[in-house]
Amino acid sequence: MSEYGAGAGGGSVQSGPRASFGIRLVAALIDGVMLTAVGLVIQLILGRALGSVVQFALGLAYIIYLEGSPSGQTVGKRAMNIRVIDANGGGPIGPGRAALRYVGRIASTIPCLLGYFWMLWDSEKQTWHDKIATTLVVPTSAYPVAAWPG
Amino acid sequence: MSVGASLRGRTTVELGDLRVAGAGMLAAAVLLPLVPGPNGVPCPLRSLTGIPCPLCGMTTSVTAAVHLDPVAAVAANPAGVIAVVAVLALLVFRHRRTADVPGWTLPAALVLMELWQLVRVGIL
Repeated sequence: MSEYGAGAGGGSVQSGPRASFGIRLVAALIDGVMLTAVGLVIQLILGRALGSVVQFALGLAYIIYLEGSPSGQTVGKRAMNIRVIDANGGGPIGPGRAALRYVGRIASTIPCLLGYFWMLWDSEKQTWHDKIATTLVVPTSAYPVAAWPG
Repeated sequence: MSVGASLRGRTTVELGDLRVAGAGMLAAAVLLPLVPGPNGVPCPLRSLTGIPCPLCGMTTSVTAAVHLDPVAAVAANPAGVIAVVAVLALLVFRHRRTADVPGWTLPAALVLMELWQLVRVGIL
């Protein structure tokens, strides 16, 4: 249990620290580089058309499974010691909301990534996809992970 | 918090995050002209719909401002010049960690930037 009461007192927005812009950026770069490298190998094996479809599906499954897991951590987030949690209850977001968060990323990307930069101005450091899925990204020092992916 | 309450309230902005992002922006603006090929990524909104977003032209504007070409910077997006000046101020005056700002300031700035973009491309 977190010292900030993750999983307790449902209904209130979780207090405590939030993951910083720089840390989240590096985590996203790690995931991006990894997924791109795997995608290139897949495209080499399956060809560009089928490879792109499989690459997209793999990326989607990667995000939904890992961000929806109890740890809320992709490989990049695990490397940077941050995780995604429910903004209200503090617990895991589950695969459904992880999928919603993925769709929210598209909304964040469309106006020149404005939805990502929004966290620089937000008191809760939420991007648009965090707001859409009602999530927070927090450091594991304040919200420890029991097991990965959990 | 509702949108209305967010606009009426105040927002605590962590300046450390802005400094990191701003330093990255300035570094990218210095390095981009050294990279061969077109600089920046096309705006997805403009590519899909023809309508520019408030941030359209920011790569060109910030790059021009950093290379001391204010005319080209303002022509691309006046907010780029403001962003460069603001980031330089944040990097020089590092003692403040947070700033409390009215919640309406960023949305209002984005609305002004979008109006300017719509005029620039001839939609308004």
